[in-house]
Amino acid sequence: MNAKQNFTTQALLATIILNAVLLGAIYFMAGESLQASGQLVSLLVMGVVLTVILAGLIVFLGGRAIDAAMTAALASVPTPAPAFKETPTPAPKVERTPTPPKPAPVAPPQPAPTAAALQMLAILQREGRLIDFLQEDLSLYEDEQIGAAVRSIHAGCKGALAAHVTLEPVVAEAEGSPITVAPGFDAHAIRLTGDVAGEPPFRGVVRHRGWRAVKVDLPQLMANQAAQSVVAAAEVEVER
Amino acid sequence: MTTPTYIVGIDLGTTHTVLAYTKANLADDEQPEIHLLEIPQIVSPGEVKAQPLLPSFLLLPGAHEVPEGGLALPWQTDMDYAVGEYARTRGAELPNRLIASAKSWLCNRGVDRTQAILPWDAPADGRRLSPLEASARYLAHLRNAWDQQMAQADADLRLTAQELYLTVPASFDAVARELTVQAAQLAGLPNLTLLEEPTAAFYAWLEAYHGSWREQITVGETLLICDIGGGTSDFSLIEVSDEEGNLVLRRTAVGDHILLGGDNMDLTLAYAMRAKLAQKKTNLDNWQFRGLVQSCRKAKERLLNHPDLESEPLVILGRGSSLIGGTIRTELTRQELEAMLLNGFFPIGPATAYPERKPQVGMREMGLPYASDPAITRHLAYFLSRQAAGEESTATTPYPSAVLFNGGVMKAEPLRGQVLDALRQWSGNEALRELPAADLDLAVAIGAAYYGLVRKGRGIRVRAGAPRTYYIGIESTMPAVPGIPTPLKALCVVPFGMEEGEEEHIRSKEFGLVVGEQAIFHFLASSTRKEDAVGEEVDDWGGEIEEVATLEANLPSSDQETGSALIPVWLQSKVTEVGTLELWCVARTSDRKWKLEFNIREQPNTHIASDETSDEDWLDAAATQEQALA
Repeated sequence: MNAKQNFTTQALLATIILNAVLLGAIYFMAGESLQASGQLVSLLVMGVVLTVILAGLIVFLGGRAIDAAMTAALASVPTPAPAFKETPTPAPKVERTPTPPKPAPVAPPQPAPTAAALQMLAILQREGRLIDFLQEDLSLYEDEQIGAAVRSIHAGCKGALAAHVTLEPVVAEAEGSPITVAPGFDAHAIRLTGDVAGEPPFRGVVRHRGWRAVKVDLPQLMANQAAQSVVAAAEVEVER
Repeated sequence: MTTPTYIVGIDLGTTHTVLAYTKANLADDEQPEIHLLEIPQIVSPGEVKAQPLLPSFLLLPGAHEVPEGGLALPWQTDMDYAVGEYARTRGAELPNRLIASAKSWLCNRGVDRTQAILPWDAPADGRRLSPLEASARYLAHLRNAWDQQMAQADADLRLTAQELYLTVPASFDAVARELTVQAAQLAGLPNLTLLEEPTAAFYAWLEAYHGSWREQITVGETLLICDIGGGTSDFSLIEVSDEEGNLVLRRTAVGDHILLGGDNMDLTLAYAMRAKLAQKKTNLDNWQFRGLVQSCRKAKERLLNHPDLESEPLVILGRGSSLIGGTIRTELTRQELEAMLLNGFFPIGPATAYPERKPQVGMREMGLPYASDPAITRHLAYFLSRQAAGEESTATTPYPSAVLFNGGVMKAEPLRGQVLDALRQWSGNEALRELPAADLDLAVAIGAAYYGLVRKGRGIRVRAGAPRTYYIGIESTMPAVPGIPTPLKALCVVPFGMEEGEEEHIRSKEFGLVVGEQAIFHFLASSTRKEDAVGEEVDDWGGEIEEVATLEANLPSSDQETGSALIPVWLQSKVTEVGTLELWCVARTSDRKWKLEFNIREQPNTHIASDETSDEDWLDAAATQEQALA
């Protein structure tokens, strides 16, 4: 906005000064003859009017050009991905969590983007043996055998997930209950199926409440760990 | 020195360490808010997570067990040991590199606590630390975590500049308390005050009910604090009385340090399940057994918290990547749980059923003196009955009328119910009730932080003082007879309940100390003789007094005395503000004093005798059991 204001004042000043010089020159050069023919006043008035119109036109066109340039500049800067930082929430009396803002610890240099994904996989393998389970060939086993093992895997993975990612449903309404999707809804958050026609608001039934990650709290990766590709270390039992 | 900004309470527990803090300077109408510090710790090599609980485990890996640089912390990248979550999980796989229960070793008189002896079963070339050093490292980890999070820019916010309260079990004797203070000093925390854990748990209860606690207890009541954690059980009694119109709370009794807790219960269940599987010809290796212990712990919690469940499946996944094929299944039924836990650990017997003392075998393995009888209720009965034995005025056992529970084990409602039922049966008081508590894991740290506010006048203070009566052993003047140890008399130097900051001079007895030689005194304690006054000599002490340690003083010769001059001294005792005990020899004819130092090296099994020796005490003092997990 500052650019625009600067431009406006400068353009107005320039227009007025130059046109005043022009009118002055006309007056000096042909003033007597114009005065004699009575056209001086009308000429001066016309000059002022034209000055005003010219100034306005310049300001309008120039302002538009500045706006266009500014939006082009903003669009070319990549928007950073939303980072899930742990927001210190004020502690209610019963829950004992730290309230004072924690100064960020000395941050190690940013690891590669896939590191977080591999870290999550490593946690699920360590706590729940999820990868071992997924790599199994289930066709070899009876349902009963699988069921018994899955209980243990479920318990481990559930604990690991809860400790690191806080999830909540996207919509508050229960499954199977009616819901009205308001105009301007976020298509990333709500996926419409069925008889979708026209414009929102849409009336429908909730078939899946969705999941939203409210907080991601992965352990901090220290920078000097180069072996990021290892999700689960091999285990060797040493014998004497 | 600037005034501290925060009051910090540290619970240095046997299985978990917690740090709670609150602002020190509050306006009169401001409600205190107590927070927990999130302590960053290694959870996996290269991963650091901040959690409010720091498991009290220390891993000393060899050269090849942890990737290089894997133990780096935000405040130090070249760590060669790990404290916390990873130490516990990885240490379970490498048991001879893991230091666990360092705190219980601090009060173990049978070893030299300043020598590097832990891990107890480390190989000959393995790394070792002393229990003192291990405890110091836990505290140093806390200090670094605090400094990094709270005191980045401002040196006044460092932990050393705050008001610090460190909790110790009430059953810790003077030597163990002294060692705890030394560990704190090694960790760089020189200014601190000790507070007893059951009292801290009670303060947490007072804080939780800050508006309404006066309605929950009445004058004349006795409250029992029953603290059963992962590895230890601790009992204390607090009396509510009235002095000049003011309500006064006084801690009147402490129990012994009993090495019995939730871990014993999990192991019992796991052994029983292993036997059950062995009947079906399924044998478990060590790795699978550890998995079984974990599953048993979870199944126990589920069954105890859901009274309608009849059984809980136990699953041990197969090792290696064939999870499902190698899965071992069994189940824990409610009957088995009740038989083992409720009847094994919390049996309701008569009030006179005391813990069984197993006779001592000639050769025994050194280690922690685990309790030989797992029945916690029997230990409780013994504790309560000993309180009556000490008092000559009343012969009846002072049963409590309300119980405050603490410790992770007591989260299970059925177990609390068993203890209450046992107490109701013994005392005949059907109205015996439980004081509701929250946060059984965190109460001690929160209570310690609240205690700091109480000392500033924000709440009622529980009067404590010395938890035992302490004595010096004096040999009677009798001709020496070979083979029979000279009987000792006990001279009381610290009466029960002597408050912090008090000093006593014992002028009734003089000792002659030889210059240039080391003077050695026997240091004795009793938790039941509470009426003995300072300077009283006790001839005949039955089973009530036991030896704690020896005290030593080295008298350097000055210019005046040469050769082996004899200096008459008398004793002076003092309970410091920190909470430790100091004993001095004061010369009668000059101003000189010498401090008696505790000998914390190994105590030879000196069979001290009163006029009535009882083998029972000796067995009591030396009872050990082979460590449960080989």
